[in-house]
Amino acid sequence: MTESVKRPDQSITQLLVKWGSGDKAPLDELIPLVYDELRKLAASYLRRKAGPHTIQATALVHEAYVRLADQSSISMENRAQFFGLAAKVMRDILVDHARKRQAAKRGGDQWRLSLSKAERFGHKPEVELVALDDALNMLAKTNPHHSRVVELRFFGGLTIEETAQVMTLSHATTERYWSFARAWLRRELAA
Amino acid sequence: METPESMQQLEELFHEAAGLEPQKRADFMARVRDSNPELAVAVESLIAAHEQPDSLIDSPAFEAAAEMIADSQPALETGQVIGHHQIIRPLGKGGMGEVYLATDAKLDRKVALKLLPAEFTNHQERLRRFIQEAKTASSLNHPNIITIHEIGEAEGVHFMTTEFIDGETLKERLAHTRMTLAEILEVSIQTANALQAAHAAGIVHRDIKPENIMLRPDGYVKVLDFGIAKLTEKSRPSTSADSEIDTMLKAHTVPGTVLGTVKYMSPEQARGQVLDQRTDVFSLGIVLYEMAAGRLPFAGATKMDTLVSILEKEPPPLDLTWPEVPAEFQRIVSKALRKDREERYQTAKDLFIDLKSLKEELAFEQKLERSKPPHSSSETEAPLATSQAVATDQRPASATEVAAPAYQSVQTTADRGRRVVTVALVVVVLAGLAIGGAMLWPRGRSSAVMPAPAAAAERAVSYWITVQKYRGGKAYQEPFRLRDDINFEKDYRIRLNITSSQSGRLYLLNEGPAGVDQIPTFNVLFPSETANSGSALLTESQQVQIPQQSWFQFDDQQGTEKIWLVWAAKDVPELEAVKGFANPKDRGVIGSPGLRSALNEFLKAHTSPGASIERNQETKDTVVRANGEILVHVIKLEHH
Repeated sequence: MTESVKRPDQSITQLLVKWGSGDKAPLDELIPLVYDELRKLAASYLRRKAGPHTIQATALVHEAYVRLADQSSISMENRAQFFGLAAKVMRDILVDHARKRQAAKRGGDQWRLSLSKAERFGHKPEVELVALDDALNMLAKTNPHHSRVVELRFFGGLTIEETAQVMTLSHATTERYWSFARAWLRRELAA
Repeated sequence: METPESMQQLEELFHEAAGLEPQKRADFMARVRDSNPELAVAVESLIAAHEQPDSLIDSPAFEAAAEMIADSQPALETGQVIGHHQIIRPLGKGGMGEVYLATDAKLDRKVALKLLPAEFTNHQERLRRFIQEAKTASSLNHPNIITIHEIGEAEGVHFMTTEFIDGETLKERLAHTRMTLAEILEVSIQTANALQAAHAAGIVHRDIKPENIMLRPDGYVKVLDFGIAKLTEKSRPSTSADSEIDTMLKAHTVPGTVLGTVKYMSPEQARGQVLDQRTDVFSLGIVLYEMAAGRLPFAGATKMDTLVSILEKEPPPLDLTWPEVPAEFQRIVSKALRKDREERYQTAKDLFIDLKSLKEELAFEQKLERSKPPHSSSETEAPLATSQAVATDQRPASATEVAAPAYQSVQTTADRGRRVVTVALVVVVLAGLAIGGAMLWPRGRSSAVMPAPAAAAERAVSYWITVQKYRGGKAYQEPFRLRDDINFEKDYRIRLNITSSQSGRLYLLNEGPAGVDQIPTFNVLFPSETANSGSALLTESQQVQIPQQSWFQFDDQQGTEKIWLVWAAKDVPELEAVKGFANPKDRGVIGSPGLRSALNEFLKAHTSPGASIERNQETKDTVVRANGEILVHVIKLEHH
């Protein structure tokens, strides 16, 4: 497959605009496109770069946006929506992968486990990611908005302002949600 | 479970407290405590979390994401073009690298395309040796050696294409079927045939194992991956025969080696010595044994144990699990498995000849048998509904369908008789008389066929604790056995040992403190990647220790640890669903509320009513028995 420079896809922009006007149908088409783009981007980063790969999830989301959407005909709302969607997709990809990796990993020989207070989180990102995902799901049961704020901020790399825009919340409320959710999650993850 | 209302209250108090100066906050919290102490604790814990620096959530800058993502998918996608090949779909992951079904556009044929990982192909010399060997083997045009079409590089990846075989690997076959003698001979004869041809051309395979033996529906056997070992092997200095096993283990577990498993290694390979063709003879011997016995001749709980077993132990005689095994077959396997390669079959050809003669001999006997009146037996029809739970080791009833009917029918009859006896014996054994004597059961084989006792649908398991004393962070004294019903010293390090004379599925979960939803958390202790290769399946009399190479340590708070033991006749879906969580680095924690609550309900629902528990003062064994197909028992370890 050739790695030619990709032109922003007009149809994706149209889908975003359509979705933005309240039509939910384009989502089914959008998600796989974003999914695909993120994966291809990640793979091409790896091919280009030697040495340790320090590319961030959020940078990928941003690049996917630039590549997929036609900047000239897209509104700020559509942009926010794209990031909202990409955050969800990014969460899916990363957590799914982390779970698989966690399951497939071969263990070392040392296993000192304090039974009741099993140290819950290692330094491996996948362990923490899986735990975070579980905790987010738990939070979403009582506080779906809080959970979504974290998803957008953490997996989509959105600012408070952008998050507020995607969720149509005030800046202050978004910030309150974020600070509570963060404290709650930290406590959960440290428990 | 926190409700939206209680969460809202919590959030309001949290924001109020977080916005206050320390002194005012203390006053505020005191007031909250007065009215609702529990809520106060929750708010305080949130404030503490709020003020603690650094956590994962603060770094949306999630590094290495690209690597994770790229790694999470098959490297190639459907429709993707690699040189003149177009990918159709993934076929699976081979011993090394992914394998895809692809179309060769030039010749318009289907091929299997294997990606060669960059970590190996970056090494020019290794790559060169691999290509040379792989091509030489392929050029032999042997019917039992897979044909390589091309080894090349395109779109930045190294790949190899071979003929596409629409069949299954021997590994897959063994996972779902017990093979008949006729099948075993057929597969091993063709494999030996491939090896003798390769050896004659000066090529040693070095990695003979069931996943490298492909079975085609038309009966042809194809040996894969000649030369692959060349790509991954590290040049190791040849060491003395008694080299440290530890070092050797390290040498074999360097990341990326083809040796995902050490189970099929020859002793000389395990020792890191220079290899010749006789290493393949040994590995094929292991495969032969596995096909016949349904289990490996040298098995250990860990890689290390397996290696020690390969180097030191004699495999259990085949007739232990298969009383009617032809003596000649047993002799052939033993000769292939001689630890000293000087005593082994010196060539694959010799092994091939012996296997072939045996096949012919059996075919002849079968002819003779055919001319006799048909063998009749009424007991083959005996209902044995419970046998599954007790002895999964039996050969399948489908054995009667094979090419050697006379031979097989005799075997099947005797076999069924054995099964019934096994049921009876297991019950005797479980009465606590002779757990250690379980291995001897086939000797009872000659006794008359008995009806299956009513108590046969019973699960029984035995366990004991090994203790290692620690002082000042150092182990002292030899480990010793203890029963589970004592109050353990807090600085004891412990290990659980579990065995049963039955085969079955073993799962162990450590119950932890309840989460916010009041449902306990669970840690999966067994199976795990390092414990039993992630499989819950234990063969009869297999003993496992958990953890395998280190020790559990109690925490400082005195209390009781609850470890759930599940010993089931069949896979337990609720537990199969979570067993992937277990691996030492991740501590096996199941976080998901849904999974935890499903587990919790399962354990409650299945805690065996009327289970009998017997503790043996002398052996320190605890034997638990319960009716039904699933035994659930809590091991409680009190410590101070």
